[in-house]
Parts: sequence; C-alpha cells; structure tokens
Amino acid sequence: MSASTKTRGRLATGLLFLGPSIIGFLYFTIVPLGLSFVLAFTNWDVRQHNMFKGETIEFVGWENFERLLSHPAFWQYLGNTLFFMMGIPVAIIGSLVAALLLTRDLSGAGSLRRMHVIAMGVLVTSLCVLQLVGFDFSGMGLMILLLFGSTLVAGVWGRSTVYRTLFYAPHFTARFATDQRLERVDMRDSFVIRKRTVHKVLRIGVVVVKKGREGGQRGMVWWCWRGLR
Amino acid sequence: MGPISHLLETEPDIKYILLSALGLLILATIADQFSRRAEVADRPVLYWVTDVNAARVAEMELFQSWMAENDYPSFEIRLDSSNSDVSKKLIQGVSGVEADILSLVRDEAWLLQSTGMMADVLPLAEKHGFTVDQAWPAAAEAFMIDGQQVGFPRGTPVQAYFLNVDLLKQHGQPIPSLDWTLEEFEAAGLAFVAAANADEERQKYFFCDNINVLPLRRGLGRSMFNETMTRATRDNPESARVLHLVHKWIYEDRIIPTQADLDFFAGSDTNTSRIQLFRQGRYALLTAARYSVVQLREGPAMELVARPLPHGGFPNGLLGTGSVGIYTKSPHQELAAYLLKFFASETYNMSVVRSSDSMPPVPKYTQIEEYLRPADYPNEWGVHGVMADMMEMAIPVCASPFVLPSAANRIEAEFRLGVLADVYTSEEGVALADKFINREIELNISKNPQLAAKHARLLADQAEINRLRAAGELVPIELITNPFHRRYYVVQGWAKLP
Repeated sequence: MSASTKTRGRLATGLLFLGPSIIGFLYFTIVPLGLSFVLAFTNWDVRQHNMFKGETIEFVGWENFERLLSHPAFWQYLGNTLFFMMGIPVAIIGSLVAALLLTRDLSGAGSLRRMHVIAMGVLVTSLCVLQLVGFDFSGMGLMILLLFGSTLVAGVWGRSTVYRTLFYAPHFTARFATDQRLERVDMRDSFVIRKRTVHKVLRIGVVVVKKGREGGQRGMVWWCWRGLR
Repeated sequence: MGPISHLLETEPDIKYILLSALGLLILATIADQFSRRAEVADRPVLYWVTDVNAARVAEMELFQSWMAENDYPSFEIRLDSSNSDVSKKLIQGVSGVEADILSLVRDEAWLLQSTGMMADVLPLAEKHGFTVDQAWPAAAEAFMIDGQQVGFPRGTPVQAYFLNVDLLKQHGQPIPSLDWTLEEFEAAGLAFVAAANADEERQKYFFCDNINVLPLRRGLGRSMFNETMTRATRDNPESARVLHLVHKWIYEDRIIPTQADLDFFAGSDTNTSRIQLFRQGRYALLTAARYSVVQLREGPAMELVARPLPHGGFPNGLLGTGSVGIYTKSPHQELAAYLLKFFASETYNMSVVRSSDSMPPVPKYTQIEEYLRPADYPNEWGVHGVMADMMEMAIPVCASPFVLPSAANRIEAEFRLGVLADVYTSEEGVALADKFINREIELNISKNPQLAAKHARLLADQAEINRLRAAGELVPIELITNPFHRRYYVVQGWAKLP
C-alpha cells in the first residue's frame, strides 16, 4: 500500500466520522446564518411569504437596517448588549490568567523578583494616590483593585502557593464549615471528623518534611481538592 | 481501499463498537415502527398543542366519555405541550407539519390566522352548533377574525380585582363599591397602606399587586387604536394621564409595589407567588380572573369579593379569551370539530362551572345557582356573580389587522416601562408609542397590497366617522371595527344602530 493511498484512506476515515457533525453544522448553523443575511435585505414576512400565501419576496436594499438604526433606543440596546458581552473576554482571559497563576511561578528570581514586587507596589500605590486626589473610583472599585493588587504582590513574594491557597480556600473553608455543622449535629461523629482532619494535616506536614516545600504545596492542593474527606 | 475496511484494519477493536451501535439502532428502529403501527391501527390519532396539566387530562377524560355517551366517532386526542410556544406553532404551521388542533392564547389567534394556517371552521360550526352566537358576544372578537371563525373559546377570563375581605376589615377599611372611580381607588389605597403599615419600619403591605393601564385608558374614553384601527391613538392627554397616575401610585403613593418590592417579597413575580402574597395579606387586592379561584381554594378558605377595575367615567373590563382552533392542513378537521363542539356543550360548561377553571364559554351557564353560589365555597359567593356581570361590560384587547398585536404590545410595553423608569415623561411615552406603532402599520401596508387596499378603504370610513362626529351626527355602527369604540359609541349615544 503506497503512502498516498494510506493518507487518503485515513482522510476518508476521518471525514466519515466527522461527516454527520459537518453536515449538521452546515444545515443547522451555516445555512440559516446565510439565509438570515440574505433575508435581511428583503421584505420577507412569515405572514405573507409562506406555503399558504405564496407572495413573492422582494429585495429592499438597506431599508430594514435604516429602520433599525433610526429607532431611538437602538444605540442604547447595542451598548447594553456589548456591556453584557464584556463578560465573555474577561471570563476567557481571567480563566487563562488564573490557570497560569496556578501552574507557573511568575515571580522569577533575584532582581527580577524584586522588580515585580516594586512594580506591583507602584501599581497599588498609584491607585491609592489617584483615589486621594479625587479620581472617581467608587469605594467598592477601590477595594477590588486593592485586593487584586495585594494578591499580585503577595503572589510575587510568596510564589504560586499564594494563588493556589486562595483558589482552593473557599472549598477548604466550606468543607470546614460543613464539618463544624456535622459536629453540632452529631457529637458521636465529631471525634472521628476531628481525628481525620488532624491526621490529614499531619500527613501534609510529613510530606513537607520529606519532599520539601514544593512537595508540601502539591500535597496541600491535593488534600484541598479532595475536600479533606 | 474503502474507509470502513481501512478503519477496521487499523483499529480492529472499534469494529465491535460500531457493529454494536448499528445493531442497537436497527433494533430500536424496528421496535419504534412496531409500536407506531400498534398505536394507529385501531382508531385515528389527533394531536392537540396545548398546556398539559391535571385539569387538561381530566378534561380529556370527560371529552372521551362525552363522545362515547353521544355515540360520536371514536378517535384519540394526544396532548402535546412541548410545542405550545407561539414561535413553534408558527414555524411548524407554515412548514406544513403542525398538529391538528391548537390552543390559541392571548393574541396568537390573530398572528396565526394572518399566516393562513388556521382553518375557517364556520361551516363545521354551523354543522355542529358551535357558532359565534353560542359564546359571549365580547369574546367573539378573539376568534372571529376578518369574517373567519378560527376556533371556539374554551375559557373567557375577564380581569378583575379579588378583595381580601378579612384584611380590609382588620384595618378598618370599607369594601369598595362595584362602580368606583380613579379618585376613590387612590383614596382607598392611601388609607389602606397607611393603616396596614402603621407599625412597620419598612412598608410591607400594599393596596394591590398591580394595575392594568388598558382598562384605565378605556375608562377615560381612549383606546389603543382609532375607530377603524388604521392608526394608533395613544398620543392624547388621557392616555398620558393614565401613565402618570400609575407612576404616582407606584413611586409616590406606594399603593402598588415596585419591582424592587416584589423582589424583596418573593424573588419572582409569578402568578403563584402573587397569590401566595395575597393569601399572606401583603395585598388587599389581587389582579385576578375566575381561574385564580382554583389556586385560592388550596389552603384555608378566604372571604373573597370581586370588583371591576376603577374607571374614569366609562366602566369596562378586560377580556382575555383562550380559543381552540384547527390547523388548515389537518387531515382530521371533521373529527377535530368534535372537540370544539364539546366546548359548547353542557357537559363541558358545567365542568367549568364546578372547577372554576375559567368563565364558562357559553353565557347561560353563569345564571344558575351552582355557578353563582357554589355550595362548598360560600366564601366565594361575592366573586362569581360579579364576574358574570363584568362579562357584560367586558371588551377584548383591540387587535388591528394592520399590526401584529404582539408587535403593538411590545412597543407599548417598551414606552410604558420607559415612563415608569423615568426615561420618558408620560407625554413622551404615549407619543413615541404611537409613532412606532404607526410606523409598523405603514411598514406592513407597504409589504402587502391586499392589506394596503383594506387600509385605504378603512381610512375612507375613518374620514366619514370624523366628519359625522364633527357635525354632531350619529355614526353608523358598522363603520366602526374597534371593539372598544363600538361599545363606547353605543354607551355614549353616538352610534346609529341598525
């Protein structure tokens, strides 16, 4: 069997599997999208142009768009839509940044690390100064910026342990709260829960001693992920 | 070398998975086909797109026993609630694959009839006796469209206020009269919220849950459209006054809750939550129709009376109609007509009398003792008779043939809410609503030559009406197509009746 025949065979196999998806995508997404685009330039109206009425569809140029743009609230609606869409890139970029913070040490070493700390410090200080000189930040906005800046500074200083701890802290505290509730509900189980919790903290300590700080971090993250079960 | 043989050579394990999947699909197809054959073999199956609940299932059981008792042809009706959204009805209808029978709620009858997908059931109605004269006269507007009968009502709810009698007594407030004005409504509302919230840090109690601007505007002699429904006519001081009053009652007098109040109460504004809040005494008055009684019967009995909405000189009521129509491409139109015949029957109307699920579609059943004073519910005796009387002054929502009701209502709501949110003044709100609805009318006319011809003809009628009114002469009632104006002209003595 020649190489080209083999490649064609693999391509055909791939297409066979992808075929239903491609056909579905074309039929249910691309064709309606294209038709919508075409219909936007016509006088199509489902009440007149259907199997019962049979009126002919006519091309009307930009008329539909002119009508849309002349609506007094059009720009407000557009602005509202864009405002709501702002969440999409923020979520994507935010997720990426969170992933990077959790997986890499971005602080560098030596002078680079000091430079990062200084840069973040300057950022936070600048924000405070802007607020003090009357820049129109709301109290909540300033608080969020300070929290964000402080987190970054702490992250540069304390490396990814800080980010991981912050990331898993809600889960950890939630579990802790649940344990507390359980203790209240059933005193008989409380000893077991406490014993288990102490045992797991001790396990983390043992890992730190045995495998150093990085090992301890990984162990802590893992135990947090397990929800200290 | 084909792709399948290539795949099987390179990935030998996958062939078992693929073959298993194929075998399962073949078996499922065979089983599906056999089950369908078994289902349709004995008698025809008709599909009815409607909401499905316990009441509807009971209704179907009653229908089947009524069919058997009368020795009518045997067929099965299957309820389909998954396609009851209006957009699904529309798309499936114009695609030729709609169910045989359709429930038409709110303004759906006008929309679906305008596409040509609803059958004109007039010949079947004459044959089976569910003609327009069987139903409430006011309800006819909702299923007689452009001279075609698109169905028959299965319920005719009229909007009213239900009053919590014990709560009003508790705060020393009188029961309003049946014919109360806007000023009396406002005074009663202010007195109630002052008395009910006297010991509260934050206002907890409101006079009513909501108020509908449409009957208020009609009460001041104004309608959404002119006499021939060729143009929107909200741009006038009376319509602006209504919006101003509603704004005042919500934000200044605080007799009606704001959206923030509603969120604070329940986190939602569903019918169920409104009824629960009414039960708890948060509202003295509940916007309701007779079907609300069904939910109010659950739990401890409440002493209830019904009252029409207050008016500014012209008492009226807002009528909503839930009709049932037949799809024009249904191969079972003759059989489907039996369901419409059932809605006009004594069996069905008496079941509605007992269940209080709505107003009986045939008026004579509201004049019997069982309707007026249900033996098991003496606490409701102040409701049913008032609701029946209100049907006499009820007027359906005006639906111009030149603009879809859904479009007109959307525009109206947009600017009404804009006024309530202080984006527009009352005067701006009504002017802008008129402007955009009229623009929609012009657009529809420009796209449809038949509609344009009809519009031109009715504009000539409108000019004649205006001339007669200016001259102080009576206007022939047949010139007026707007149901509100037809009634208003008669009451004012401006109409020349045939």
